[in-house]
Amino acid sequence: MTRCSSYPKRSADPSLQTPALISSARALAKAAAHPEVVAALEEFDNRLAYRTFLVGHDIGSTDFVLWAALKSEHLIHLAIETDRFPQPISRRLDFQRVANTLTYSVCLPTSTPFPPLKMLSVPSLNRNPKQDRRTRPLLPSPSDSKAQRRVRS
Amino acid sequence: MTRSLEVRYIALVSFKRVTLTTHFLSSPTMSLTLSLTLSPFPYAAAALAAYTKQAEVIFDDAATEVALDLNGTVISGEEQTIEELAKVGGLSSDSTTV
Repeated sequence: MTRCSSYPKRSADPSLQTPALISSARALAKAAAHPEVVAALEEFDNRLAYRTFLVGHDIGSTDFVLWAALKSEHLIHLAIETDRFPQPISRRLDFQRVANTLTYSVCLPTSTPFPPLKMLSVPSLNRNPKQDRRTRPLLPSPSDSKAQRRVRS
Repeated sequence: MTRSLEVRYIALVSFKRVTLTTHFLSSPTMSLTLSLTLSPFPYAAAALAAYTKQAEVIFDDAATEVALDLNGTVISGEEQTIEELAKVGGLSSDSTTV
């Protein structure tokens, strides 16, 4: 049985891959020049083209380090937003969205306002509340007098 | 992703100290202390602590670097923290097979 020569070779020992990938991810986070960022992203992009996770069949510490690197560098976000790396790297954004909810919920507790209350029935000014029960407010307003409440009831 | 990253949290705010409490698999014996003003922010360590549910994340403005308290033993630095959290949480990629 012959193996396809164009298929990327996998290292048998993943323990040899993990430190190198972590150091590459850290270098990616510290890269300042745009060509360095693009080159490092292409490396990860090629690796993730046929993998879900960087090492192994489950999420590992390397994936978290890469995700942190993607999150910390604005140039990388710029590259992703321009659809230069649409497929494998962008899968990380789903993971990032989940973590963003965690981060923003803790860091910015007042930034998420309550959803606007929806009014079930709006009383019309032209209608007599006695004629239409649907427009009658459920609770009397404090400004209503006792006489008006008697009429309504 | 075989394990969902659904993190249920209760943020307990007391002055400038925020504690992020997740649903732990067991009683947490570790705590990860970090500050929101750290630059670069240790996202990997915070995400690992929340995902593995093994360490309680404490946001403390007085912290100058990320520190992991492991049963009284304090580990400082993001790299060492990530390694230790990955070992405890079973996420160390060294043990997986490709």
